[in-house]
Amino acid sequence: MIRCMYSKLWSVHIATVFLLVFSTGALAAELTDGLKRLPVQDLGRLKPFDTFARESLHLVYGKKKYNGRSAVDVVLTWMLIPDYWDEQKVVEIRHSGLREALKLPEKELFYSPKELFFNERMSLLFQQLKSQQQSQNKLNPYYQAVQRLQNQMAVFHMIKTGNGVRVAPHPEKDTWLSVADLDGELATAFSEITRAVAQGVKSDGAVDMALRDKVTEAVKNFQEVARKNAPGKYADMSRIRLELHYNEFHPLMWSWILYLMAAVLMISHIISDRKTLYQASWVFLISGFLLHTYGMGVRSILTGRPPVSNMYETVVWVPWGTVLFAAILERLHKWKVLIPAASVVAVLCLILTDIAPSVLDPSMQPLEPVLRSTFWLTTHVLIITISYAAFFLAFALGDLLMVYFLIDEKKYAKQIQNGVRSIYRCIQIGVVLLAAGIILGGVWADYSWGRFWGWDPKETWALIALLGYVAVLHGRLVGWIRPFGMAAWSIVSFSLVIMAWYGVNFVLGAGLHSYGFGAGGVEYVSAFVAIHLLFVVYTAVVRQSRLKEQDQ
Amino acid sequence: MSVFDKVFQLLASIKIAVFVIVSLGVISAVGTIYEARYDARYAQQMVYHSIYMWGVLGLLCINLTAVMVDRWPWKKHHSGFVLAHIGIIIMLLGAVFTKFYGVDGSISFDIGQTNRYVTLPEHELAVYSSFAGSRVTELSKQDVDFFKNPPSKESPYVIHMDNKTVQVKKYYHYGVRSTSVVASEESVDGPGIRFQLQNDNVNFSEWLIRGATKSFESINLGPARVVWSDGTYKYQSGNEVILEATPNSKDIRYSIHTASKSSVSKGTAKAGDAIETGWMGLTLRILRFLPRAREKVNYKREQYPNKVTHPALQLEYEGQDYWMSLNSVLRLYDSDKVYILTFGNKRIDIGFDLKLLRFNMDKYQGTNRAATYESDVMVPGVGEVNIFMNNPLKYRGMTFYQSSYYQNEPNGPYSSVLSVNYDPGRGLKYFGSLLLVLGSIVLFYFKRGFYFKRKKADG
Repeated sequence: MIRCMYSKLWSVHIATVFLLVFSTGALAAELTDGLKRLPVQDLGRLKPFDTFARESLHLVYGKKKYNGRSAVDVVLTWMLIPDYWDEQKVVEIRHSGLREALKLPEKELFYSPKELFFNERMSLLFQQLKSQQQSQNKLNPYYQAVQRLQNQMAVFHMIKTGNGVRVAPHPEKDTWLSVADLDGELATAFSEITRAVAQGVKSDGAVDMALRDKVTEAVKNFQEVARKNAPGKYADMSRIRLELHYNEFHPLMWSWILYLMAAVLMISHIISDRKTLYQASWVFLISGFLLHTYGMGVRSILTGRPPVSNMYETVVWVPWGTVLFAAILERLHKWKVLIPAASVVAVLCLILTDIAPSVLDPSMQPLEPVLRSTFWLTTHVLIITISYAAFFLAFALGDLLMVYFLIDEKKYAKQIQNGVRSIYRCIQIGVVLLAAGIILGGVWADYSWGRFWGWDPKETWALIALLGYVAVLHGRLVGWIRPFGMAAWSIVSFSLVIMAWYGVNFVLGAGLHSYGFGAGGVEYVSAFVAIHLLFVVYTAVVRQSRLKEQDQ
Repeated sequence: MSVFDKVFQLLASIKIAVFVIVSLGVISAVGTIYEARYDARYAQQMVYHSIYMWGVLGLLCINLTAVMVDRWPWKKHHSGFVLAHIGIIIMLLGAVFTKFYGVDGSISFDIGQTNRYVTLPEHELAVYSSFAGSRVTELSKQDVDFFKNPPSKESPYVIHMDNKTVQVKKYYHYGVRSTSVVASEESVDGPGIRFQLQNDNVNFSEWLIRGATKSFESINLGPARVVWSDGTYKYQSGNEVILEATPNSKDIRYSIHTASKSSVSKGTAKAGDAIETGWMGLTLRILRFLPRAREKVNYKREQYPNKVTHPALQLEYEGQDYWMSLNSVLRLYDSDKVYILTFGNKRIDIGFDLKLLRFNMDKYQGTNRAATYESDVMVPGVGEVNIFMNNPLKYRGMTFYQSSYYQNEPNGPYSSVLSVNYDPGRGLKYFGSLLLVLGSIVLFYFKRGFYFKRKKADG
């Protein structure tokens, strides 16, 4: 009872202050810096408050910032001035059918928690969702949207009330105490943090360094109290700091910027033939590659597993392999176009991981038991996905060659010959790795499930991709597939890789490998595949008619 | 060139090879679509183990053998090609051994339970007869695959029992059970009542059917217990509604016991009457009364599987129809004996008892998600063995893997499922794989020499 009143007191006090500031200007971002590294228990692991806030804001609002305010500020104030946030349009509803079902204004994307909460049709929708879930049918996109909305409302509510923000270990249980559970000394220490934040806000705009330090001090003090309250159970701060560093440094973003520079420099070199550009391109490529490696390495340390256990991680890992293969082949064969081709693949993939978090979920979720395995799991997934990297390079080269074929086959005969040779090399590397990876997958399946081969869709599609490329190699062997065919098939066959890599989880959505994958982006990926197939057909038609003219 | 040579050249040709490779890809792709629509077993039976698949794989073996014979005598530069192709043949041979001689089933038990039977995916239909409950004799036991060979009214699957027959007339692979209550004339059936308990928030309507020899039947609905009594039942505790039939009339006598007020209200009602219970605005309605009622089971066929579908068959005995679901028992009565039919997954005796001592599960912190789980099992002659993910028990040629777990009731104790595997093709598959990978590496290393040889060979 006392605790209740106490927390009421501070929240009222703070609420008035915040309301003033929120209506006038932004909360100075640096003020809450100290709070970012407060460990929070969420979704089965410990994470810094920074990550918690980013993920929560993204789930509810679908963006990284709210009107220029950082996730930490926004999510913290959900808890401090809930009444204010109830009125703000902070819940994203993307599905137009769902907006219609809720009788919401069609044009808007964002709604306030209050208007949704008092929406009469909401409980009916949630009931329908429940019966859908009980019937065990797969949810269609509409019900997925309802499910997301339910999740958004729950997360917002849990944070607003402080029940979802677990900040201190429980002396006996595994589940941490939430802000609403805090008692006695812990509650006092936590209210010190919010009080310090509130005071900082008064200074309106510019950050008072003394107040910023005060927030940091208060956080530290709270951590001390939490540590004492449950000895030996507090978070490992070095990991928390590392994750915060990963969030803030964003190595993968720097990596794709460097790759982009490398590509531009190499293309400039090819055009102008200046040696310094070539060297500069390599410097950027290697720096990008090192940062790429660093980013994956840090992530591996944080998750405690190799970086290939979900879609997001493989989309980061595959271009790493593509760049590596391109670099090696360039050193061996001195064919410079490999560098921009691989860089473009890497830039594309890494940008994708940055802009599409709802499809490629970057959060570090814990794994299903069967995937928490050791050596063979890691090896087979690493090898299979790295074979995709080789096929991806062949695909990019194929695209490039199509352009050469379209412009002037004769003039670029040398480039085409080199390109086809590289494609052939890439496919060979890919086939050996993919065959080995599939077999190792069999070894792993035999080891953990007792079946060498179980016709699981993911492994079956990997096999289909392998068969596709093996058919191409055999076709080339007897001369059915000539240079143009090689370039064309490297693009067409890559559709099989996309199906195995992405399609099985998102299109078929079945089988043992479909653990923990989200859904979405099918239309974009299909468009990507379709455009490339059309491009190949178009080039083939143009080329045929040209060859006919020449014959006549 | 003789006809034999021509045929041989075709079989050894790369055309056939590409045809086989593409066919394998297409068939497999179809299989994955089937699996997404139906289930893994459906895809296996219809596609992966279909005659087409075996045909294409057979052709592959012929092609691989023929092409190797064609290149005889082998040179050094052939080594990669020979290794890879022999590797594939050996792998396929391993798959054949697994298919025909392997065992792939599961064993499940509750904590403290002993089990020695492995459940297989195949189905089995068995008939036993018994005289007055004593001495049970097995009359027949047959493997059945109604999925591949579905019975019909016109060509039923017939089981002979002494001089009587049972005819299986229908089989639904994805059946959904539904029940309805119908009036009955038979003396074994007792009275049934359908009632409704309703307020603004809840709505229950239920049937209660009392066996002819039972004194009462009851159901607990949360706010209250409803008892369908023959008149001898006495109020026990909590909120209770006691319903009784009155002799020679359709009236129902009711008494409503409220625990908090220790009050009782009594009266009689007919079908359609509403009675206020005084509990949270709940109204009791008598909907229907049948002096003799029987629950009738029916099955509906579903196109696609979901969590509530299961295999079911309909059979006819002495002019009456009966439904049986997978893993159920049906008793059919004759004048002096009873026939017991079982339709279920085939089970094999592994020859020793396994006992589940403990089952442990770790969860991710602060959640209900399983992180790992493990079983402690007592193995005869070995002692206690700890089986967990990626740490199977190998015993008498079989391997036992921790594959899953279940709960018989929410929040109840866990039961463990081990998958049991005997794979005589394992060694061949590993050896074949090794050859294939080695061969591929060597093949690409020596590809130039091989390529020129092929060019000559193919003209």
